[in-house]
Amino acid sequence: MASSNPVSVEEKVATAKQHKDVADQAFKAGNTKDALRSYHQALLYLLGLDKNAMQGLGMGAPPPPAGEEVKQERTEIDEIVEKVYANMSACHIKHSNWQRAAETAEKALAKNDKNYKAMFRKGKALGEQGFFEKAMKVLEDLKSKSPEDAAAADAEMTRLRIIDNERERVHKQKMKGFLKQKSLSVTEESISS
Amino acid sequence: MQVLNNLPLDILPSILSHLVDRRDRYSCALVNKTFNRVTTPLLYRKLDSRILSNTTLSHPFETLLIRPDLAQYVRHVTETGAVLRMLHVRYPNITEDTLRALSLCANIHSLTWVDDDSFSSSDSPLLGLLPVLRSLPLRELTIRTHSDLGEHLWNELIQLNGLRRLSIWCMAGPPAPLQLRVAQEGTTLTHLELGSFCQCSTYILFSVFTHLQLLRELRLKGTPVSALASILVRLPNLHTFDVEYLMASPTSPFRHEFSSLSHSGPYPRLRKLIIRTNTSDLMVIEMLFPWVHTLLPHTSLESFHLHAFTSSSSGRVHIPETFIHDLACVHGSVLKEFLVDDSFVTLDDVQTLCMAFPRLENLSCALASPDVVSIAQAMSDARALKQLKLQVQWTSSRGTTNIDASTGSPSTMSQSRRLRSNHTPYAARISSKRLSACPLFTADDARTLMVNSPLLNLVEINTEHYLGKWILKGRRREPGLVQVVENISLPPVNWSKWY
Amino acid sequence: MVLLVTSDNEQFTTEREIVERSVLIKNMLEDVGETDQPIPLPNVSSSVLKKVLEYCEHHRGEPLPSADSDQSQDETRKRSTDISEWDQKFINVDQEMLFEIILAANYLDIKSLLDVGCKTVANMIKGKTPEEIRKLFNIVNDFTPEEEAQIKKENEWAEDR
Repeated sequence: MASSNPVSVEEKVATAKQHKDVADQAFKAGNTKDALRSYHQALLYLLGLDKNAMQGLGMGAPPPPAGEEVKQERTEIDEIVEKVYANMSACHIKHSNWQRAAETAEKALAKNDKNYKAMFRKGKALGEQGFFEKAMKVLEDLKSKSPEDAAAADAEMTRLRIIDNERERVHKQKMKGFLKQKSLSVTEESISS
Repeated sequence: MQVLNNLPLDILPSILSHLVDRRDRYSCALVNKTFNRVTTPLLYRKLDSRILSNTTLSHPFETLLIRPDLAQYVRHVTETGAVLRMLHVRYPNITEDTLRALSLCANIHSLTWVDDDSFSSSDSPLLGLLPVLRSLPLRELTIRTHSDLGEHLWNELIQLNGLRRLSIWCMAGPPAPLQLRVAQEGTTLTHLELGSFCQCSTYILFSVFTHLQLLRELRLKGTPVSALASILVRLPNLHTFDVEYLMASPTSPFRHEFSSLSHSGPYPRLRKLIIRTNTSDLMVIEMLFPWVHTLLPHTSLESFHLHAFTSSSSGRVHIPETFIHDLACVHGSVLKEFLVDDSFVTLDDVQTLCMAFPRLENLSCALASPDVVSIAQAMSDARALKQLKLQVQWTSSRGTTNIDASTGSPSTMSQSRRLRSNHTPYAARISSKRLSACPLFTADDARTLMVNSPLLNLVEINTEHYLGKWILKGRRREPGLVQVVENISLPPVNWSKWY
Repeated sequence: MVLLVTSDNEQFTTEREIVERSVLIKNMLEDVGETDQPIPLPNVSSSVLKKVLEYCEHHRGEPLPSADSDQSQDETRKRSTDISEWDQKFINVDQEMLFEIILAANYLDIKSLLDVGCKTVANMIKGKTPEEIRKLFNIVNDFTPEEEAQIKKENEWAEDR
């Protein structure tokens, strides 16, 4: 890939940054659709660039000085990718596209598990999708890790709890009706089909 | 090979996760620090103390107690009483420590506990196991023991919270259904195996299985045939049924108990049926085939598997022609696997199987044939076949005219086969010549079969294996060209798991 | 139709159904809709994209693994090193191309293709000693003798006997 590629990694990162800046501006102006488009463009340039990671870890090339911890170094690329995903999550939340909001928040967290904004968005998006327990876990986690976000996490948990209780009530109502129906129609046909 | 050192780090876990053999994982853990970090969680996913040899006194749980951080990776554990007793001499606290280590495995999904020694239940490590089980998020549990579990343990096991799959092979104590009676509504089990199902009353069977409605897979051993129907009608969601074909003894009062019962409710739509039988009585086998049909009234069966072990020297099991016909009538459009292993079918039956089951992918049976051509002819309609395993008894050798020794006439060969298949459907159809080991079947023959059946790429004839590889022209498969690799090593099928 | 541009500036026009085997592109098309604008793939060369699209075309219409597939599903997917016949032929390429395909599958987020590539590499590792694996990847042993002994002792239960 590298040999046939005239564009250097630095240039790609520069292009990606430009797209990200455009996206950030669009987001600030409330134009989330345009923001998403530019964030995607940024990703197309950024992803797949860290392919020499193994070498960076002393595999292949001469071994690193006998250091105890071989920790994965966070590159500039990682940082931008993290921010892009976290911001995309914000866009999706504006669109109430909860599934994608949770997915992108998750991607940001994969790059940096201390991205508390992403953590909050993940919790919220999970809760909105009906994954109540998962959402609570994430938000509790956020509370314990970041005292600054505790208040917001608490408020969100309270809100989700109300939604969940309502959901459960409606569900129970439905199930009641369903079971009643079912007990009437348990015939050979309904079971074997 | 140079290129591999450019692999991005985040791909390494994806690669190493495909290595399932613990020995490969052991090797990878020693490659370097990066490999070690990625491999160690995989290595500790599955701990099986049966792999310990008699000479080495190393138990994975010893490591867990020294390095509790590794316990979080454990998902599956197999522990045996035998190993615990073996290590006991050197390591008196082994049982306690094992249970202690097990309780550290906070993410464990499945546990298999095997104890093949019989001893009084008060000595059993199982007693200590119970509190540990309650603390673990188990979804699957297998217990094989020769000692009585005791009522208390049974009760606890069946009610374990969140358990999906329970397998109990307990060779002593009261019959399983009696113990299962405590199963309440809301039991989460979807998979159940009972290896010591003894005879018990209708009432108990009814009440037990009524509470196990979620069951999708059921395996029973030791249940008389007459009781099975009333079990099946209780289980609307069942799709896999693995059962021992066992006739109740003539003296059993149980024998007639069910015949007078009308089976209320429909049978489940079984997709997979496995029947195991071990008898010297060929009459019993004959009754098996009509019985199978009664279990399968709906078009649903995708896989039929018969393990018939006969201890009788005179006869092998022969699949009746009518059985295959009836099977085709109901399940012809859906059946993909017909695996009867050492049981015999005729060449005509093979033809029927290949024609009447257009989706047949996997065929395994025994048959007698004068030559390879007859087999190839019988299989000319096998379009979907992917795997073929035949135990062939050659009735004459290749190169000579196909003279049947009993008739002396080459022309009546096929006719006589037809006639005989109509008249003696089950037993002793084939003259008892020794199963020929002479290499009548060659790689060329395998190639012919594979060219005829476009998806076929594995052929096993007696002890020979042939693996087919398509020769490609550009990116397209060249029709009619198959390269055959002979005698590939196949992983042995592990039936010991069941017995 | 979707227009793709590779790192070496070659253009590929392909059906949306085919290119959506790539979750990266699928998400993009779903988030912002189809445009006339070409989608730049600055980290895939034309020779590799050609291979990848061939794979996508063969597997078009097959269900994609769900984004939030839980771990147990993941395990089943990974359990075997079996590779289907077509995929085997497809991945029967020189090592450089194998590597490029793995990278592209990772970049484009095509899980099944990444699996095929990774399984192929895993098959290359199977049965090898630690030293042979180091040779395969051209990597060095960075353990001290003490560390190595420690690991051997901890993992002794899993050793080949």
